[in-house]
Amino acid sequence: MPKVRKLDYAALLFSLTVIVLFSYNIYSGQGEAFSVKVESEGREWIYPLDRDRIIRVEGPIGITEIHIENNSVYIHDSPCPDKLCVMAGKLDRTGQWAACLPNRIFVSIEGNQDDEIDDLNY
Amino acid sequence: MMKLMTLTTEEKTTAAVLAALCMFLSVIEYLIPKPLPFMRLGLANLPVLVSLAVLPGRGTVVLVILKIMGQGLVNGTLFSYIFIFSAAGSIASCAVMISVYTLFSGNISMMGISVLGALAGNMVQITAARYIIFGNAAYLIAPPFLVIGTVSALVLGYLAEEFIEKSEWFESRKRAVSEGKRAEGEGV
Amino acid sequence: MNILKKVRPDYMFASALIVIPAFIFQDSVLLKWMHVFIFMSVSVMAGKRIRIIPNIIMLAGITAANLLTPVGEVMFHVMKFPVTKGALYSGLEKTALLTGMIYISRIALSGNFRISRNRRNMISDVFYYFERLMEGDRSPSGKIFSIRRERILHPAFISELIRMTDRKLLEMENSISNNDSGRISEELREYCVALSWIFLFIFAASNWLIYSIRFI
Repeated sequence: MPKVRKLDYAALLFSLTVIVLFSYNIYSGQGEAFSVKVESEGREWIYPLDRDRIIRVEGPIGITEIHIENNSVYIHDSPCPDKLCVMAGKLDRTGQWAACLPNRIFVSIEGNQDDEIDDLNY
Repeated sequence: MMKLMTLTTEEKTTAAVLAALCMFLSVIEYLIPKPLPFMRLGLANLPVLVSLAVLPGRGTVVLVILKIMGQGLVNGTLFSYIFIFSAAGSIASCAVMISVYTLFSGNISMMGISVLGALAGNMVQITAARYIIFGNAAYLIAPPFLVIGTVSALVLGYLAEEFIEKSEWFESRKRAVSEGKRAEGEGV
Repeated sequence: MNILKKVRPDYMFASALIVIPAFIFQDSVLLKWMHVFIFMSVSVMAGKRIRIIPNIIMLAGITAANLLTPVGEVMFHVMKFPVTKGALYSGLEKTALLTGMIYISRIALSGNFRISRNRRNMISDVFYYFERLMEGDRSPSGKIFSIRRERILHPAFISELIRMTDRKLLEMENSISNNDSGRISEELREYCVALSWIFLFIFAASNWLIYSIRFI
């Protein structure tokens, strides 16, 4: 049996600590991922909230531009006359929504399919 | 830089034989039945651990490069031999093992070195898997992957110590390398 | 089957290096899969086996993993879970990348290492020793390695393996000095070089042609 040295224990302890911290981060951080759901006339799009992008969706009266920025989403521009949807401002929590009724576009934030991921995990 | 990477003839021979041993052990590992695709022993890392005790750091680097290329040749399954992952993982674990060995040798055995090397290699592989292929789902299998990696690293470290202690080949190689170095040193 | 038997390994390696950028910077998923198809064909020509089932499992697994993060238009739902275009697309692209890289690296490390053995380098040495280790038990040519699965599961196997390996390494050590038998004639070498150039040209040209389709 080879001799176990002092620093072997330290190495093992270090590894286990890193693994525990890493795992804790993964499993507890899971619930915080949100996604943006955009609906328009029966079509549906889903995007992660944590990656910035510009989405252009075509509705009956033109193109609505939706921006995802810094974990929040807002309707940047829409061809409607009243611009109520643009004034709705930024959405960043589950359940919040904004809509452009004239252009039939609905934007909302959803939790990130938590139950599905758990089902697939084990 | 070129000067840094030069090895004596004996060191080259040792690295080449150890690299061939890596490939051979990959084939053996391939034959061992696995309950899950990512449960692997990593037998091919054994020669890398052994090399720490006989080759200078740059020799181990050369060995790891040869090992990566050799393993790319021996074909494989999802988690065991994917070229990019194994390359990134091997390089990271090699860097950690060489540094730990040079800094703490005498106070740490192959088991500790192996555990730390495996941790670095596996973390890099998971990160690579996250960004290159699997997206966030890579993190979900990360914890069991890391735990299994640590356990097999302990076993491998134990085997490496056994090999270094018992192998006659290792003894004769070690002698040859140190004599070779002296001979070429005098030649210059 | 190995039609590329006479192609030198260094040319194989160089051809792979030339082709890799075209493959990596390919934006179209369909064309990326075309590269993969070429790589697989060349691997077969170089005498490598292609295993279908692991490839399919990998393809399905990676695509499924990517679908977990929905991106883009929802095409349909599978048991409440949305299958999105963007995620499917990136899954297929990543599978192509991974499969392609596996086969291109196999191509890079193929070719006949005996041809270039008269110019000794470390890589050909490694393959020489590897072959020596593999012929360990003088097994019939069909079986690569004659250790049976039952023996592997035996607890004493590992220490036996160490002892066996040690013996084999010592044996090899004694024969290291006289392994210069693999020399080949001058004409054959020139022939191999010509064939290697032809292979390199065809392989590189076909892949870069696919890459340049976008400019048409």
